[in-house]
Amino acid sequence: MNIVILCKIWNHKKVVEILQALRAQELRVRGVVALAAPPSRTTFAQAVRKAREHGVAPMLAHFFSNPVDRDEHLHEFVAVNGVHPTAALRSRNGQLHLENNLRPQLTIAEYARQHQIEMTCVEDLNSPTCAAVLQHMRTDILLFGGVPIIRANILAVPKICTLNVHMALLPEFRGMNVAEWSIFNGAAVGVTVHQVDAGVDTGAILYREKIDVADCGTIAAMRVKVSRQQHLALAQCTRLLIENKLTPTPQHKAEGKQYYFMHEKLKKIVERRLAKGYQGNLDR
Amino acid sequence: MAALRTMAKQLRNLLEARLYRPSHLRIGLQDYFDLRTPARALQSTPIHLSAAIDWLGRAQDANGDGGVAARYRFSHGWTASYPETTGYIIPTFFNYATFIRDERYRQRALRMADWLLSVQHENGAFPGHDVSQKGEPRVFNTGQALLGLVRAFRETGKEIYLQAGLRAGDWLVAMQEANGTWNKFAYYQRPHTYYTEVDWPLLELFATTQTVSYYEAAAKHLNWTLPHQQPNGWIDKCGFRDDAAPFLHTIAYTIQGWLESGAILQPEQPVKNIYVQAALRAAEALLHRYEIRGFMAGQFDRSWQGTVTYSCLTGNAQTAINWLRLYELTRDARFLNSALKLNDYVKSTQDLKNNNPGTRGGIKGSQPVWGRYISYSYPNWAAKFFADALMLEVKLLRELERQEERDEYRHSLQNLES
Repeated sequence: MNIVILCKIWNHKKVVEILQALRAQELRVRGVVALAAPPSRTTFAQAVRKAREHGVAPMLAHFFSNPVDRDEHLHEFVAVNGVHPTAALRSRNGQLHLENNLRPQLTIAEYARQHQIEMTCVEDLNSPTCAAVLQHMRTDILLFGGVPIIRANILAVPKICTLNVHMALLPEFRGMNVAEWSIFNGAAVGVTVHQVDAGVDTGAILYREKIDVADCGTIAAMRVKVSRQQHLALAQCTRLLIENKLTPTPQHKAEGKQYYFMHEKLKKIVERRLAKGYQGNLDR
Repeated sequence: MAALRTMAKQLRNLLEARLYRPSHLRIGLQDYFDLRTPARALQSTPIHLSAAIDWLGRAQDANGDGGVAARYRFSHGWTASYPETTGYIIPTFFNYATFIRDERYRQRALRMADWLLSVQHENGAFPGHDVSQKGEPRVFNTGQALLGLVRAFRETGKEIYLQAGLRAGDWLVAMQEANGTWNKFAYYQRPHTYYTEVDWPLLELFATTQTVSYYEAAAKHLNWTLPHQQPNGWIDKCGFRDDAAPFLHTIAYTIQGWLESGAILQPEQPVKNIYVQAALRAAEALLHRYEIRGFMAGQFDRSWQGTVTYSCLTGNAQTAINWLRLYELTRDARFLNSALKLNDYVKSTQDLKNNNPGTRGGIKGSQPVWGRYISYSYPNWAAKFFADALMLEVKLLRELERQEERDEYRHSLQNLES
C-alpha cells in the first residue's frame, strides 16, 4: 500500500508529526511530495504588496522586530509552557537564542532521509508535474499535510482515496479558524478525518472525535492540542481504511456552514472562554 | 471610443482636483501608495464614529440653511444641501444623540427636518439633486426624505412633520405604475429593484399611520422585485444605469430595502419573511465573495465577480449595516465577523488628522479617491452609512459582552450549587 503525503516544505512540525503518527501505526510511507520554497525572502514587489495589504507600519515593525518574536514555534512553546518568550529565550550570557525544543526535532527532509522515504519538491501542488510524481510513486492513499486547495487532476491520481484531517467537527464547521468558531458557537471542539472531493471540506466523513479543551487556556494552546490529536486521528484512520474497517458517511452541505478567518474582536471572546476553562457542548 | 471618453473624463477630474492643496495632495499620495491605516493602528470605534459625525456636522454648517451639503469635492469644496440624503441623515443624528446622550445632535436633526419642510414641492415630492439646481421631483429622493420626516414625527410628535410625510407618501403612491414599479420621475425613467429603499419608508409611514395605501404600494413594488432575484442571489435591475455591473451602493440599497421592509412586516419572526429571505440570499453571496477575495470591489457582475479594482466605501458601509442587521436577526456570527472586517477597512481609509475640515473624518466615495464612484469627493451619505454601521457595531458587541457576562454568571452559580 503506497501512502504519499502532500505538504508544504516549511510545515516541518506538522508533517513530521504525521509521519511519526503513521509510523506508530506501523504504516510505511512511500513518499512525501512538498511544495517547494516558502517565501523566505521578501522581494521589493512582495514588500509593496504587503504594504498594500497591511499598510506600511506593521511592515516596518516586522522589519525592526527581533526575529525570535516572529517565530511561530516560539509562540507554540509559550502556549504550551506558559513561559514568557524573553524569559524562555534569554541565555546565561544575556544573548537571545532559540532553545532546541522550540525548533522541530527534525525537518521533513531529515526525517525522510532517516526513514528511507522518497521526497520530492514541486513548484506547484496542482501542476501536471506533481500529478506525474504522484503517479510515479503509484499512490494508493494520498494524505494532506496542510495544503492549499488541490484540484481534480491531483485528486484523480490516488487509487484508493485522498484523506484530509479537519480541525473541527464536520459537517457543522467548514472553512477557516473552525476550532475557534466551534467555541464561539458553544459547540464541541474536535477533529474530522474525511475524504477529499472538489469542494472545501465537503468529502465523505470517515471519523469524528471530540476533544476536551478545558485545560487549554488560550487559543494557541488549544490549537496545539487539537493539532496533535488530528495527526493521530489521521494516522489511525489511514490504518483502519487499509484494513477496510471504515465506512464513509456522505456530508450534507446544508447541515453545516462555511466559516472564514475570525476577526480579532471575536477571537478575544474565544480567548476569554478558553481562559475560563471552556467545556463546550460535548454532546452536540 | 468609450474608453477614450472615460480616460478624458478621468484626466479632467484629476486636473480639477486641486492637488496643489496640501490636504488634497496628501490624500492623493496616501491612496496612490495605498497607505491606509493598518488594522492594528486603528483608533477605537467611538473615535472613528465621532470623527464621521463631526464631519457631517460641518457638512450641515457649510451652507447655513439646516440641510446637509451633498459632498465635499476636491474641485469646488462643499456643495449645496441635498434633500435626499439630509432625509436619511436625520435618523442617524437622532440615533447618535441617544448614543452619546447629547441633545445638540437632536437639535441638528430637527434643523434638518425643518429644512426639508422648506424644500418640499407643493405636490409632496422632494427634488432630485442638491438645491443649487432646479431639481424636478424624484421618487427615490422623496422616499429618503420621507424616512427623515417619519422619524422626526416619532421623536417630536409634531404634526407638521407627519403632514409633510403624508404628502410625500401620497405622491409616491400616485406616481406608482400598475405593476408596482416607478418609471415616471425615476432615475433614467425606468424601474429599479433598488427602489425597495422607497418601500421601506412607505412601510414606516404605514406603521405610523396604519394607512393601507402605503402598505399596498410598498408590497406591490416589493413583489415586483422578488422575481428579479436569481438563484445565486443576484438581483437584476439594481443599477443606476449599468445593470451589467452595478455599484455595490445600489446592491446594498436593494438588500437593505428588503431587509427593513421584511422586519416591519413580520416583526415577530423576521427571518421567515420572504423579503428578509431574499436579502439573506444576496447578502450571503456577497459575504462569500468578500471573504474569498479578501477585498470588496466597488462593482459586481451577475456571477458576483468584482469587476473593478476600486472599492465603493459607501457600499462597504451599507453592506456592513446589512450584515450587522442580519446578525441581529439570525444570530449567525459570520455576518458579524465580516461586518467587523468591512468596518475596519472603511476605518482604515478615514483620515482623522487632515487639517482640511472638508476631508477630516469624512469618507471618500471610492478607495482610491479616483475610483469611479463619486470620484475626488466625500459624499455625506458615505459618512452617514459609516456612522450607522459603527453605532450598530458598538451596540451588537455590547450585547455580546453582556450575554457573555450573563453566561459566566450563570455558569458560576451552577458551580456554586454543585
